[in-house]
Amino acid sequence: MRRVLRAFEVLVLVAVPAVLILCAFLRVSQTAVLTLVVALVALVVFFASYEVGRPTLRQVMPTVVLGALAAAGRMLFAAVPNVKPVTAVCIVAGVVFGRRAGFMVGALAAFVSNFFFGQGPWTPWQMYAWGMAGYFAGVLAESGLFAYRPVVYGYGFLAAMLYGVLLNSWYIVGFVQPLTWQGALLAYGASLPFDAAHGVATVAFLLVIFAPWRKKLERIKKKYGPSEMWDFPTVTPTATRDHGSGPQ
Amino acid sequence: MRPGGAVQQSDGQQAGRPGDGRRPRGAHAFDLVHPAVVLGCFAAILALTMLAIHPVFLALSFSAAFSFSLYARGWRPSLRTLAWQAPLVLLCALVNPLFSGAGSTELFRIASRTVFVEGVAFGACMGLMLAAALLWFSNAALVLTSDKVLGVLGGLLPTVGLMVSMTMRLVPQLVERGRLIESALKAASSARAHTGVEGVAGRVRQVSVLMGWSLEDSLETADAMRARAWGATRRRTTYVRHRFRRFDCAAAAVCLALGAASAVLAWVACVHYRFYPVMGSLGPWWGYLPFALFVSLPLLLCLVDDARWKKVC
Repeated sequence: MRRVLRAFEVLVLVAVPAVLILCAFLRVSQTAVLTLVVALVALVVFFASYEVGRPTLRQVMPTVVLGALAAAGRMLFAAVPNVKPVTAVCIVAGVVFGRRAGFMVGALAAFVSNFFFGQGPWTPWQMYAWGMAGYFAGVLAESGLFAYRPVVYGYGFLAAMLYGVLLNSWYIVGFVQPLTWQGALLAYGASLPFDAAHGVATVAFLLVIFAPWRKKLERIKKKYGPSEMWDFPTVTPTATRDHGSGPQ
Repeated sequence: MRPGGAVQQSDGQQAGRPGDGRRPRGAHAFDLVHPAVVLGCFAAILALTMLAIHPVFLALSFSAAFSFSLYARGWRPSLRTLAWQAPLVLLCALVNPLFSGAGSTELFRIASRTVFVEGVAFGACMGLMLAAALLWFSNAALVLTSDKVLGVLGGLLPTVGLMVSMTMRLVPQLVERGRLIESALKAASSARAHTGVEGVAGRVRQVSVLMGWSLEDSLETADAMRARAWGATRRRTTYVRHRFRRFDCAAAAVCLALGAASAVLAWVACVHYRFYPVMGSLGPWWGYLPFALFVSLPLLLCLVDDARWKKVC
């Protein structure tokens, strides 16, 4: 079951951009809602597979803290447009705690900070886009590519740019009709400076936090127990007696 | 974030009327209905608004959303919203014909691109849709507080629900701790920053301290939660604040019936309506009636509740 859901999870995550591109080519008239639903389904499937994996508290808590830090950082830099530390924090989380934690950090940060910035139809897209930034960081770290620091910075720039492209694509594909190539390029070109600013800011954040945070997080990981406690869910075989109400 | 009156429903009605400034007007009416029904109703309205790209449907949805906003938030905030939404609609109306050149009725030309009336109309409709969707989002956020949303979704995804509520609690705590660290560093006045670079480095160190502190603290919390039998059973039970009563069943049935009727009629209307190359004709007026009723359900609920309240007083 878990394996099926995990395979499904990758499929669903890939489906979001695929449906977006497909809708652009086929000129579907209800693209805005259709792609939004696909993004929502992708998020729900990912969350469900995260639940089914029965993460331990020691996996859950660092994710929550990093998500909250990213959300707080986004609020701190709210006055400066396009300077968002969220992408950088997601990348660190993905590298240190794995791809699934990276996704969760991005999704949590986007969702929670939008209670401050305003929830809207863009929320699922931001959750997905930042989640993917963390997810891919985890994948690349597993493959060993992130041993070279410049690759990390390059990835940070690219991830921030792709974040912008994804969010713009939803607007362009969903809201401009009929869509032409020139029109789409014009729209992407108009947002290029903003995305580039986000990319540069992400690289700057990574330059500052990537190495020290990684070191610190690895140290905390080592301090709080062997790696099995991080990697595998602990299933307590016997049900304990009722000790009163646990934290809700 | 906190519910204004975290008390029983009947108490909330008395305590919160009518001068209770903490909760938006009309929030009490939604305490009568199970949050799942309210969530479903708002989600259906939002989906229909975004799906039915049809001038009449969009106008109905926008006017219903705006009148609810008028009722719940009052004149001034609603007009302030309108002040930035009107340019948004205008912008969409102007941007669409620039990016897409289709239509039959020429309006004017800008540097080899022809602007058609149909393109402007479609852009205006999309802008109206965006404005209506945003208004519905903010309306839903007024009456569906985060505790209600988490109460509905937390039962389905307990771990993720817990993570969301923990993150929301952590954000203000992090800000508080950041201040604490800052004041501690300031107290060591001989180590204060002399140059700009040192100042930036100090900030970075401050955030790093905050991260390390919070993370270690959270792992202590994790161990404490585990010691209190978190994860001992396959499924944790949760405190259920809202019960699904017979009235909720009836409300859900009404929502479902109206929603389904308006969805079918909206689909028929959208199939028969075209923007390009020439805008089509609008269908009979009764085709819009169920949708008009459906989008005004939230406001109707508030008005009925107000009438009942006046009768009691």
